[in-house]
Amino acid sequence: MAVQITKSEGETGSVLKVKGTLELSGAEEFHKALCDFLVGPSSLTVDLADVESCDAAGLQLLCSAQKTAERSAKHLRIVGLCRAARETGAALGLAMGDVDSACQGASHVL
Amino acid sequence: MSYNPVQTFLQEAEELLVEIEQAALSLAAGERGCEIIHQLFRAFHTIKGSGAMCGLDAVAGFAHHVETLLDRAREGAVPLSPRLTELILKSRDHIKILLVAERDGAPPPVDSGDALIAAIEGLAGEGSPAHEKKVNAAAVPAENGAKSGERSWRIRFRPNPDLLIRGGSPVALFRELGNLGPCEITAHSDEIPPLETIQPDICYLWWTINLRTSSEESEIRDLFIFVEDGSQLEIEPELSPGKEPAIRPAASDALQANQSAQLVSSPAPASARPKALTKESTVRVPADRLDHLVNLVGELVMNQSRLARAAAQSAELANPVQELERLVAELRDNVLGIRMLPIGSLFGRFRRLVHDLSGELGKQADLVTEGAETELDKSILDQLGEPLVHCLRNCLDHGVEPPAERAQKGKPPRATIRLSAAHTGSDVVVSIEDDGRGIDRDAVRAKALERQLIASEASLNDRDIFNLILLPGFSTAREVTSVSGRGVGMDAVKRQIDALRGSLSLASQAGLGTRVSITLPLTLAIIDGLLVEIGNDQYIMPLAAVTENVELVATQKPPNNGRNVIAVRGELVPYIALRKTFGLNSEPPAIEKIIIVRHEDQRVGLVVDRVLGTHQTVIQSLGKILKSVKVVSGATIMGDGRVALILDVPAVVRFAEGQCRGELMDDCSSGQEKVPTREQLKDGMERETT
Repeated sequence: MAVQITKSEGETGSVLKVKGTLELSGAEEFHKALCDFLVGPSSLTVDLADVESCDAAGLQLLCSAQKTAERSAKHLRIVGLCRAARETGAALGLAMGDVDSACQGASHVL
Repeated sequence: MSYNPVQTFLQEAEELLVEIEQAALSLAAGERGCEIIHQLFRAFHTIKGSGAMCGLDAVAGFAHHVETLLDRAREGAVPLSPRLTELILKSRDHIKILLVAERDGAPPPVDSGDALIAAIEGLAGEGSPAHEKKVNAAAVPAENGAKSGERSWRIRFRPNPDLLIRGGSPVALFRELGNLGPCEITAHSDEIPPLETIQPDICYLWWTINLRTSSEESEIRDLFIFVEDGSQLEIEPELSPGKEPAIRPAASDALQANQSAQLVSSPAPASARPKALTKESTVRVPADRLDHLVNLVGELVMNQSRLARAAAQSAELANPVQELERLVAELRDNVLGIRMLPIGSLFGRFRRLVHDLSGELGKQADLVTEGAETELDKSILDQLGEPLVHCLRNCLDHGVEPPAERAQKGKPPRATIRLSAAHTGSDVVVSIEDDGRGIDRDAVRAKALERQLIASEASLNDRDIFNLILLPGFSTAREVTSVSGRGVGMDAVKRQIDALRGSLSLASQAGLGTRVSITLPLTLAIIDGLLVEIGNDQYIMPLAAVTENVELVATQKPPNNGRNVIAVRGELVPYIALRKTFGLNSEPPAIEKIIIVRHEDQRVGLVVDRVLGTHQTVIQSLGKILKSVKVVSGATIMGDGRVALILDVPAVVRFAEGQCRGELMDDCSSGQEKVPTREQLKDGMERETT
């Protein structure tokens, strides 16, 4: 299933709900959706609960979004970190328990 | 055209299989084993890795077994033996079957390869001191918790920024690395840019990995084979177990940082990546696109010819048309050049044929190839494989003697079959030469007499006798084998070579060997021709065959002792009056022209009315209806819309020889070749086009 991204407005800001495969094939679309965040509200929540599979391209974009948020004093929250994202993060050596620290790098023992 | 990774994998795997076959055969021939085993391992490993990435699990799974076997061979646990070579070759064949099934969209083959896998595992598992030592060592943990023989490695991997686009999967890579031993993977995300500048398909992550394994560095490095291109990979042993070395050694720090900056922070410009550039300088193009391009150039050449004719009356157009003609000729040469391939791509597969067949026949033979870089048009190369296979099979079956017989004759037990290619003018000559027993002239003559192909008193020279072998159904083999002996081989070879507008000749010396020489044109699409006229009809002679032309005055014509010959600079040259041969009724001019051509090392003249000049000739088929006309190899459309026949010079000479001997073809009861009329030509060509 290709990536499906729906945007809605919540109480604390915009919400991006990602569904399907958060992989290279849908990276362009996900990137575009995140870029809208740059010019949008000060708070964005990315909901990954319905993500079925994930690869390095998808996780890189999350790290990039985190960097952008820090630099522009906006607030990014990642919720519903699915099993697929955790497993990929673990395999790649990225600590996904706390995406905030992803930018500094983390480690994982296989 | 969308990028299809599976298609790309199938093409690459095809090349790897060729590489595997060559390497295995080199191994069988006793070449340096260690290097070849590494090469084989890498090839199977790449097939495994890329196959898995493309979802071809059957291919990846099977390649894994072979990889394990080669790993054992690399360790020295499995000796380099004929059994190992045979298993590698059979594995290569099995993967080929799996790939063909995938390419054709066919169901998986019935033979799942289980028997082969069992044989591979059997050989890989065979106890040898080195292997047992390794197994035992791995099973006993050392005091410090690490297994004996294990080492710690520090790996720094900065992938090619295009890793993800190329289908590389770091996740799969690290999982495979985990199979070697426990590893600690640290991803570095510091080079990931913010959203404004990130390119989603570029890999910005890089990794440091601590790995504890008993595997050697080369085995670790092998895992990175298919992601290594354009990447930076450093694998170093840890200085002391459990102690972290400095992440960046000071000596290489500056260079490393510099390279990283270029590679990672500015991934977009391809020019900044020299290694990747080398790869990208080659483009794979489907053959049918090239064929279409050649057809278009053919059309262009014909239209340019029409334009030149139309513009002949205008002084204003003369220069631009001349310039256009030059450009079109250059374009033609370049386009035809694109389709030229080295004949070595064809030679490669014959090593396997000679290897398998000599084993089957209980003989020993080596194939030596020469001139593999000689280039031929792809369409010719595609059709040349089968004739060469026939020739090689004949060499091995009839020519090469069994080792004992060779020893009796004082020859080395291993025969040498020499397959060579070389340019001669605008032709390529491919030769297959063996050092076997040679052709038995008496046996050939006796067989021809028995089959009433020749009269008992016929005086035949060597060439005539050897040419008997090329007749349909002719074989002197005492028994029919699975390899040859039915006499269909050389006849089929000759027909195929004729169809390629080539010629075939045989030479042999009793007890010393036989040489088959195949002369082929460089291309079948467009040739330089000499345009001539007889009566109102125009003909093209391939310029490559023409050596010169001289005048033939009516007074010179009375036959010299019943033969048509003319003295050219002191040498008597026989000539053929094409008007008579083709049965044309028009009157010849007072001064005719003799085009002197070279045919089988002899000079022969062909008499025509006029020579009109050179002509870029786009060869077009005559169509099925006129296929039986033997003296022409095709036709071309002239600038004024007329059709000119392209003469098959050797066929014309042979036909004239036949006329002289009274051995006329069945359909030529009048003693003249029935050259098609213009109406027949147009009809035939139109039907062919349809």
